[in-house]
Amino acid sequence: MQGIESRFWLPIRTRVNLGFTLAMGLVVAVAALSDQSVGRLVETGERVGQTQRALTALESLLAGTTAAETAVRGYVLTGEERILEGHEGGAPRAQAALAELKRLAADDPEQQRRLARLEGLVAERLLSLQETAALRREQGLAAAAERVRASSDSVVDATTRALIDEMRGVEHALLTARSAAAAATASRTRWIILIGGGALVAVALGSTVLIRREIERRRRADRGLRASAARYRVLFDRNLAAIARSRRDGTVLDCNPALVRLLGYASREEALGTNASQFYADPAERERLVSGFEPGGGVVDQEVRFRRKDGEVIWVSMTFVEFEENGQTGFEALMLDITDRKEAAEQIEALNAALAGQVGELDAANRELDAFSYSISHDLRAPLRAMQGFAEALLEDYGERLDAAGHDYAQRIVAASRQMDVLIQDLLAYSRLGRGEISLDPVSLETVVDEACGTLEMEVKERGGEINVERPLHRVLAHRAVLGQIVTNLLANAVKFTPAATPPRVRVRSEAGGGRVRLWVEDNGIGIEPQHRERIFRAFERLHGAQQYPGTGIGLAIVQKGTARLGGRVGVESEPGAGSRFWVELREAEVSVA
Amino acid sequence: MNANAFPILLVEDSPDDALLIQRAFRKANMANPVQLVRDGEEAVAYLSGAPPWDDRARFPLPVFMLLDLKLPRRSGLEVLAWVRQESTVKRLPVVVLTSSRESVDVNRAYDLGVNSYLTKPVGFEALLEMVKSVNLYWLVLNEYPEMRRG
Repeated sequence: MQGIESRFWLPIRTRVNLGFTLAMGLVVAVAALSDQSVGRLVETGERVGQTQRALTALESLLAGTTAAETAVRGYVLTGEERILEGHEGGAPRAQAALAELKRLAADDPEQQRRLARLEGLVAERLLSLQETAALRREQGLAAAAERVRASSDSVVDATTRALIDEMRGVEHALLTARSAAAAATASRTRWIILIGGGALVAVALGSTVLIRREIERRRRADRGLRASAARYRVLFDRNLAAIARSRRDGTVLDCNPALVRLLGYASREEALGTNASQFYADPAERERLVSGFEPGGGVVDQEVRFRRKDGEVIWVSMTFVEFEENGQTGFEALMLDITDRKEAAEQIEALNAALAGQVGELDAANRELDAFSYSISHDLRAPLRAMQGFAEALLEDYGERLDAAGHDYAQRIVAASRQMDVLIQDLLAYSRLGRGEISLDPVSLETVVDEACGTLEMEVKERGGEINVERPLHRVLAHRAVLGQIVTNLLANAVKFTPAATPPRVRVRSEAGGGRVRLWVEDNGIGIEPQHRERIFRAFERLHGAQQYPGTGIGLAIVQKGTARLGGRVGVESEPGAGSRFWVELREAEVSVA
Repeated sequence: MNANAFPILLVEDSPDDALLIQRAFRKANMANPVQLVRDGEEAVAYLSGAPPWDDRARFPLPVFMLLDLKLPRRSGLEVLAWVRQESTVKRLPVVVLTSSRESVDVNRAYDLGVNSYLTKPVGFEALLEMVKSVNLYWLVLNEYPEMRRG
């Protein structure tokens, strides 16, 4: 349809009007032209007839005169009056022809002049014939014959004949010209009628095509409109969303079954009989809503409270559009029941608030823990330093005044405070692992292992052992300091738990697979009974007396917690008496990361 | 300049720690006197020459300052911040000597422009070693900036 509209740039109504005007104009023009032509044709025909009548009159004049002459001559020859009477009619006939000619030539001065001469000649001739007849009757044949002989070659006779011939020639020429004009006029008339008729037929055909096309277009549009209306009806009736059309004053014009269900009415009719403002939990709400937007506008997904027929208040999400129909403003509203969603949201909000409270409590607890750690690190160690420092000062400055027992007591104060300091340090390290943000970066296991070995070098040497690192080690994703604590504690653990007489032999190696790296620390130590393998990673768990293997029991707990913070796993394989093989599994650093 | 003529300012509120540190300085055979102040406000008063330390002949500006962080009235970090914006003493070498190893404290101290950060060791031997190292570094090896001492 769009194509047709754009091909003919004028609207259909204008086109039809133009076509009609054109057709009417053509009809009027053809009629006028035809009328004019026919008039001329008639006129020309009359002229032709006039000319023909003139010719006939000339013939009749000639015949009349000839008849009169013949009768007179016959009388002269025979002397019988009968013959003269028999042909007496010739003279009046000629007179009548002359009168006719005069009438016909009324508009032709040239012919009139000739006619005047002819009339004189004819009168003279007829008079001469009467005189000849009188001569025969009175003086006999001889005198009359003489008179006839004289008159037969008279000038009058010849002139009359020439004049008649001339007039005849003129009339003939006139006849030819008038016949040609008549033929031309007839031909022109025929063409006018032919062309005019053709044009009319063309205009009529064109209009028919246009009108038929327009009718087809309208029929199609109409069909589309009806289909669209039917689709709208289906959408309206089957929609899961409630739909209602109402007037400005709240009169419900139409509603669908979903609305009836939404509001719990018994029937559509009941809903139609209710003012739309009664759908709202607060009836004034509708007025607020519909007066809150520009003409032709609406609201989208407004959340409002509705009241069902049974009084229950529900939440709906409402979309409102203003429309105009037959000069009246109305609203089409689309409503979805969002009560469940709303309740869920409220629950979530309540949960969130509770959660926020808990997070706040947790934060407070964490801050308390921080303060506690700080206090341990600062305040608890201060008296410890004093105990140890002054015990040592006592031994140094007043050692000679103390006996053996005094020395021993002072030594015990020093040892105990040193032990407590280590304990506090380990505890701090352990608690620090649980706090703070850590970021994972590529770290070389070799560097970290080497550093840890450096820390333990003295102890290993003292016991005649060795730590054997199988290079190269892989690179892992880790936090450098945390990984350092893990490795140091693993190695310290491996070195420590060997029988006193056995030099510790520790083997460090790594293996990679599936994006993970496993660092193995294998010792020749005392091993772990299977039932203890879980316990050893818990804080303060100790399998041995402090006498035998001194320590705080936090080392492996640091390994466990640190690995967990790096997103890794930790484990142990062991045979009692045949050493342990600890492993830590971490994510492998991308090879491309240098 | 003769660094031996000027004192080391020790800011320490714990009498035990002060006594032990002073003993360690004695044991390390230090020529410089150790001037002890008990809290942050005293440290600021000493450095700005307020009474009773207004006699610069008796109480000259120190060669460096050993600063504890957990102090009454004005904390070590506050003293450090004050020093760094005070024109007469802003170049004074400041060594934090404290028991806190919390990274918050360490980072904050460096942010404020501390020259060194040490933690108090448990055990006198370790303390003595540390004091010897500090002396070697700050009194013998280190080059001092100019300070207006008057």
